[in-house]
Amino acid sequence: MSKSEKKIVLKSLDNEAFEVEKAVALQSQTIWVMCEDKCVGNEIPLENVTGQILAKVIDYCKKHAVVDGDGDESSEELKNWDTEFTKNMDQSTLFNMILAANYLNIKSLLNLTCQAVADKTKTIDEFHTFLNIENNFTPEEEAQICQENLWAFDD
Amino acid sequence: MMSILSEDLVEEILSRVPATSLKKLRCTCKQWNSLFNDHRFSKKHFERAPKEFLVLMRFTFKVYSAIFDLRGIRSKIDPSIEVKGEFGLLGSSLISHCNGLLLCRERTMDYGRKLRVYNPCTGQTRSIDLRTDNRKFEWFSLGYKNNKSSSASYKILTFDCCADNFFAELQIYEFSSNSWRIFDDVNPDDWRLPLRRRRGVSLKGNTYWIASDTRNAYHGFCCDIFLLKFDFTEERFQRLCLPLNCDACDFNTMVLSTVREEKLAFLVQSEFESTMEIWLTKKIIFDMSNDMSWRKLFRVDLGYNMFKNSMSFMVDEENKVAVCCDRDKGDDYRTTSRMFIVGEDKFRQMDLSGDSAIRPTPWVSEPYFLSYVPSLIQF
Repeated sequence: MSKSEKKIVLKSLDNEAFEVEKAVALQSQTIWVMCEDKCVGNEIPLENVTGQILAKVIDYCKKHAVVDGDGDESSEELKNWDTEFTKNMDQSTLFNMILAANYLNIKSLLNLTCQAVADKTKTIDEFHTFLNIENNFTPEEEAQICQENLWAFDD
Repeated sequence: MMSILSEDLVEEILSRVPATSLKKLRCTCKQWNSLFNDHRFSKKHFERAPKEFLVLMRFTFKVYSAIFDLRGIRSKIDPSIEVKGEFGLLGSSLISHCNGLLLCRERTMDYGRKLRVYNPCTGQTRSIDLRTDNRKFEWFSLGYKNNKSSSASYKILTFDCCADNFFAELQIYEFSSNSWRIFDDVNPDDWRLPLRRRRGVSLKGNTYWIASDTRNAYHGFCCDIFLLKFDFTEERFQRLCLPLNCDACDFNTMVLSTVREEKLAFLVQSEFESTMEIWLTKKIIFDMSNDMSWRKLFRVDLGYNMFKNSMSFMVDEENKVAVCCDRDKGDDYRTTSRMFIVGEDKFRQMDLSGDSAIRPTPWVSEPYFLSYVPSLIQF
């Protein structure tokens, strides 16, 4: 395989181009299928992901890629890296990462980002705001459900 | 601007929220409430969500959930037991649990005639009628058959706690058929389960006891002791190993417990020496695990404090300590509960009088500890 064939260019929604190793990009099932189908050239347009988010996704994929003996990081170290990776992301970035991981079909990144949101969201209000959900119970219904579900774990 | 996540992705996130937190979200939105009745979601949640390790403390008819904080033991800070609240198990007493489901005995109007299975997290409950021939039984164990493809099918095992030969009266209840059947496929002539050790411990769908090999018995007492497992999937008893170099024999106190619903813990206290040892399985136990290797967590000299087989204990593996509880007859013949914090070469009796919630009542059973992991499992 020549050097150029090992590389691939990913183009974001806002036309930012990223040249990456094929092995890095192919962690995305979506890109893998595109390459298999040969329906694209060396440049793959990703219409749902901005450059800012794509850069982070590529960071993640680089760290998790098994490239020419590079993949012997201990799982403990990788776990710590993952924790640091999502630690300082704000909610909006995390959401865009979830959407990107889902669109690009990268299971481990989807797991990581969903778990990060689950861990960071604490109060009922936060859940509602972040997940854009409204309380659609009538006050009577709400009271009834709450009454039925009274229990001992609450303080 | 905040992005909008599809319902699928919201579900991905919610399946990673611990059960007791998710529980609080239930009454805030219709879609989320319906997840609590969705088998597919509860299975996904069970596999993914971080586990919460609680301790249940049973005092006769009451069950409290509590958080034990034993981290300070090394720096001589008193351990704290924070009682979170009382379970809504009115009129019934907890007898077994498995995967976050509680098995209780109704103690109200129909005294002893019904069992109740209850998931405090989802509110799902089921009442099970006892038959005339098993109403007098005291020990019931909840377990499940592991179905690789679909969800587990739950079962209850019971036997006559007072009969000399407990195999004579084994019965199994199946949730799927809602009926009891006699289980008479066992009749060993080389081991027995003494009356005082018939309270089993359930872990990953199976139940464990400490049984005695009768082949080399001396005046009815056995020194060949082993771990007995009832495999709910295959419906059979199995012999497994206890630690080799411990003082296991019929004279001694031997009690099982679980650690974070992952490992088995074995406590043995010699009748003739005042030392007590706690052993843990080296590996995490799964439903199919048969390879038991043990390591000693610690050994401690308890002076003249002897535990009975009815005692219970909780282990904090990381901090190498355990909380032990049993009861003792005081000078006035009233029974009182005693709680000890024990660790490597140290033990201390805890004062129970301060906290009214965990103050035991004389004459009734001692507080009994169970390690408990809430779940959204349906049955």
